[in-house]
Amino acid sequence: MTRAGSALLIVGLVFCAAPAARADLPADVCPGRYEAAAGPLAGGTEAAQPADFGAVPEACPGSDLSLRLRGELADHSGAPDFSGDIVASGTARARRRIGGRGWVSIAVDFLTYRYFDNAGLVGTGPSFGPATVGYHLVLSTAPRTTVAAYARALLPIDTASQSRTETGLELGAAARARPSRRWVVDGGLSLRERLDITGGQAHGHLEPALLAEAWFAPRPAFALFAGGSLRLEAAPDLTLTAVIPRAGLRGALRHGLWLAFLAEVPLAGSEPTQALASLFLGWAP
Amino acid sequence: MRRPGTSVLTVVVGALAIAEAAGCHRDGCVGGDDGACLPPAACPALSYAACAAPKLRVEQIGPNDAERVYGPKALAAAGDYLLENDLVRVVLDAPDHPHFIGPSGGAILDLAPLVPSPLVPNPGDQTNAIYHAAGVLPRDAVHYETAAILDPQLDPSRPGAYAAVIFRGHLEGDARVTVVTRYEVRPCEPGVRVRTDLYNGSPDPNTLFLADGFFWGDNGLAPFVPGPGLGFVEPALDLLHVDQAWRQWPFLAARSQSSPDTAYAVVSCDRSQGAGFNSTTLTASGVPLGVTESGDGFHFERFILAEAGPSLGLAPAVAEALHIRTMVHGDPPAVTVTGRVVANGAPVDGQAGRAASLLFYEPAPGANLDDPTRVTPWNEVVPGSDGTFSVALPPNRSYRVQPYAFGLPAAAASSFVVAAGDVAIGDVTITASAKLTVDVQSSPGVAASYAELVVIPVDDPNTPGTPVPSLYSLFPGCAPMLGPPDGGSPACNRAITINGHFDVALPAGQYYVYATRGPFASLDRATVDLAPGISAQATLVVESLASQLLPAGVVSGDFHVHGGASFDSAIPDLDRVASFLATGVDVIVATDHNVVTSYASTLATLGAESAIAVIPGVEQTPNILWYYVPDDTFPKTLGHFNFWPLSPDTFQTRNGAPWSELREPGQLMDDMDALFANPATAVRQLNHPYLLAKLGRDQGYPQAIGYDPTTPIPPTPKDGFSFAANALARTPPDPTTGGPGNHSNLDWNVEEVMTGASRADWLRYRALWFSLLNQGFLRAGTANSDSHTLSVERIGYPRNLVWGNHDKTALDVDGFDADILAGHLEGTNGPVLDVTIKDSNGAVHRSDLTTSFTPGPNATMTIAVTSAPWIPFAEARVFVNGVLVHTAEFSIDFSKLDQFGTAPQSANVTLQLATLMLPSHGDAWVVVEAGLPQDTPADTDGDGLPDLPDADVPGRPATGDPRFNLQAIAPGVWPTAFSNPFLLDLDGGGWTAPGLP
Repeated sequence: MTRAGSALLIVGLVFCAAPAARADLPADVCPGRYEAAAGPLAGGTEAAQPADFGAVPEACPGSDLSLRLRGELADHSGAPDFSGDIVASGTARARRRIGGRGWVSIAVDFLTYRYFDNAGLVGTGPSFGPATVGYHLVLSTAPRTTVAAYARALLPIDTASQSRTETGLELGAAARARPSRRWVVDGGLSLRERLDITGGQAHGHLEPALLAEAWFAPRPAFALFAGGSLRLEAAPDLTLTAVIPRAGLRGALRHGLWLAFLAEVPLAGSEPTQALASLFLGWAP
Repeated sequence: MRRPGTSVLTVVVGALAIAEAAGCHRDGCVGGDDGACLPPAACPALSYAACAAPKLRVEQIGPNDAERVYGPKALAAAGDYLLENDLVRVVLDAPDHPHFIGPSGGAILDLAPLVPSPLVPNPGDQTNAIYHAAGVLPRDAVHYETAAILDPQLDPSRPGAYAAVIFRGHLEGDARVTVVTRYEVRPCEPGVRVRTDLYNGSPDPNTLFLADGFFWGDNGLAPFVPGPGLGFVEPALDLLHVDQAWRQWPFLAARSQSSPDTAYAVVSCDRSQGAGFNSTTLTASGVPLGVTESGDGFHFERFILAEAGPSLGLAPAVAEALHIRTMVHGDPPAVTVTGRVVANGAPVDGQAGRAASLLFYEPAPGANLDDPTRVTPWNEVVPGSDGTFSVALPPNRSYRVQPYAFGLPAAAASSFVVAAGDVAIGDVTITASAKLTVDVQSSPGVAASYAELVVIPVDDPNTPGTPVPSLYSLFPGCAPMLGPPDGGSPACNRAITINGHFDVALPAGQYYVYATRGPFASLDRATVDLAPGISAQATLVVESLASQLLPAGVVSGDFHVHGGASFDSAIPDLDRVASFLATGVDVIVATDHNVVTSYASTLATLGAESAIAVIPGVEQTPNILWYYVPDDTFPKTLGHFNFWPLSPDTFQTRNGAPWSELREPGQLMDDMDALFANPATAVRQLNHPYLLAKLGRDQGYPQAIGYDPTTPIPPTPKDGFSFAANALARTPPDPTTGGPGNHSNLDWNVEEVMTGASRADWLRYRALWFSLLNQGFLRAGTANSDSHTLSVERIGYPRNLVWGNHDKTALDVDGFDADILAGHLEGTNGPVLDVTIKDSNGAVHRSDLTTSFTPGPNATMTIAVTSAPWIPFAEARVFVNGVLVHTAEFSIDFSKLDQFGTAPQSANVTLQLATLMLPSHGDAWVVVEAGLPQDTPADTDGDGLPDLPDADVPGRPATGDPRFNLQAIAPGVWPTAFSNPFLLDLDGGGWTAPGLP
């Protein structure tokens, strides 16, 4: 069995074996089935946050399926870089509640297409993977506020790599607050250790990230949001990776379906990508 | 019910277990360079049989070790690394010894077969350098920091014995992308195993095209890749559209145009195909294009081989490449095809490919089997002296064989089929060549020693429909093509002799056959009509006219010439020096690109030390793009500069020339200061100021920065002046210390006003010279050939005549250079100009940049022009402060002269200086030209430079045109001589520059 197959098998077994559960939601803060102000939406580039690895998740439990189509653009065709890239990727994501306060998640970048132009030399190609699996647990609830912690693992399933096995662990916390009926604030902190094992050598990267955003829902089924994220590499070198303002909208459709759009524009840091756009389609049973 | 926490733990542990399992296998340095990793040997499937005298040698070259192999391109120096077995020697330049386009050492600098053969008694090096890069921009070049020998001291006769050198480095623009290369030789192998490990430690994915960059340098080896429409044919390479030239191939090969006859090939070992682009400037052969993720890595393994026989052309290298593919990739063994080339039933001596060669290709699909855009060439071979040939080809295919001679098809192509076994295809019949024997005499009955033979067709070869000879489509433009244009004699339509005797083979036809010994000698010509297989003989007399044309103490010099040591030249040293002597030049400044040379050993071989003076020098020639000019998209190199006199030290890198990259001109000059024995007479020459860029590399500094000579240059950079003007005025920091520099970018003391035959360039360079003189930047003007070959540019056309009491047999170099700097010289491509001004006090003055004089009201200017009868002139032009103020016409009708006679033609005129529209106030400078009429064209594109409206290099004149014979000898030349300036202190208050108009 291939490495990718082994990992997928593990993920599938765990996910299927996890008991579904229902419990009372913290109703004053967590979104209902037809409420649009439900976030945050996973952002970041495919290279930096593959399969949502490093993306601050929801603070509220839930069971749902979603599909994310992501496009990234970097145009540095002028001097001195003479480079540019376009990346298109699709990510499938699922959450399933287990117990009253917990849920598991899996995500997989099922198709990524890269176009990288390095001064006229163009590399292209599709790939599959990687995937993540996570466990989330509501730590505390208070009136209009909930806080959850999570752990997520990056599974080394990636056909784009030539010699690399990429894996990692992520710990973090997500929070959501509802200061008023129409306003929601969410965000969180992620701390991940990404481990690349390439040609027998291991390279670790400790990378914290912060996310904060505010949602405004003029109607329960439609919400706008804006915010920003900050990504750093803390080790081996302290580097500001990206400051990324983000904005978008989300609408709740019929039958538990929802649709969302997220736009991100990295402004500072070493991240060369200049614009990201993601389209989400989800279903909550 | 399972506990969720247990499930998550299972996942994590499982993931880590998988990752750990993946990490157990250490693969060289593809995971990064930790300083201890070691790439394994490349090409493990490669296995050569044991040989009779296995040998291994690896060492760092010591300070007094002479380790250069035969050939002008051999550059091994102390500190470099040497790998050698019984068949090849490989020299790797030390990390701090960069050459040419490399940001560091770590490249293959020399690669030479060591075993002589009957056809190649002196095998040698033909490589400039083979570099590593991961892209086409300078930032993607590999910069090696360290090197270490890996020598397990194994018995060479033991299987698997090896010696290796490991280079560690990174990409020039991103140290996080690490690169480690292992060069390894094993006994009995005809090349070097190379494995390069690259790790992308940057946070971003990228297209990293790890490749070998074979820097052929334009005029050297002819590269070849098998493939439809390929072979020696190469898609046009445009750096803006590299993708259009992108191809894949099973191997890359290359063959030399000249001695030493060496062929190379490279075969990828860990990928079935090489990929990249192929051109006579640079071939990049590497891994297929793909995206390398952050944290990912890969390796690139190849075998680079060198062969010197037993046959010539590509054949030995291709045979070995196919053999390697069989071992490494499991390709079916190549078959050997043998045969013989005959003409009129007699075997044909291939004469190193000049008289016969064969190109083998798979036919094109469809009706036209020989459609060059669709055939798939596989090999090329040159028959030996007995006409026989042997060539390796992939089995089980249909082939066509096309014979060539003198750059053209010599018969129709024929077909044959090979299965799995060797094939004898019998005789390949070609049209017989003719033979021409010429004896050149310096006076009737006295054999000339050095002379040049020039052959042109009687019928204009530019007539539409006339076949154009070429080296399989490369280097076209010779008619007839007696040999590869950039090679040794005979090359293109020329040959050189060192004893007055020529024996050349050439295609049948009607020809004018000239013998020449330069512009200061007579010219002789014969007309021959040669049928196939016919021999003809001619005796031509070429008498020296130097004593009649040149005043005593005046010597002629060409201050810009190249030989095989230059990366863009392939002419052997013997032919190069013979060409100096044949054209009658007295002094040569050896100015090879980035390497100091002297031709001393060749002069000694020829016993010609007193026949010509050679001053060692260098042309500093940056190749790495780095300098940004506002509003220009791409970075620049900042032009070429010559420096002399220098002393070559063959134990040093580049023979002692400083590294020329990433420097402004002032810094180039700072670098050179320490090398001059007498800085006061050191010459710093701006070369071809507005020559256009070659594959992105700017060759002229003013062109690179976009200087408009109608705009002023400040003393120091200042607001309100153009970027280019301020760049010229800038004094960059010392490149070594980082402290204040000594030279501004304008500190050249000599400018090439005329380079080669291009009229358009001459007029543009002259505009700069005049602008600088007007602004008070007094620079001597020179005229040089910038010759790289025997044929494409002509040595001594143009050249300089240096006034003084000079003796080429015992040249006082300091005195000679001092006269150059003082402007005691003229430039000429034929006419000899003698300009004097007699002031009111009766003192006679010549051009001088160091002293001004007050002419007085009765001053006169005398202009005397002389030339050999085959070099026409018609007028003299007087420029005052850059403005043409007078044209004196001469009445000699050169079309009615005996141009093959020995009577020089002369004319002179004396002018009252006061009548020459001297300025009413302030001072003036005067320059005089003589030659054929030439207006100053208008600036039509607004760059401040004149734009010649008609053809730069005009076509062949009619036979009755007085330029016909000169154009045969020096195509494109427009007969012109120019003086250096006279500085006229008109107001008696000391000379001041008149300023720009």
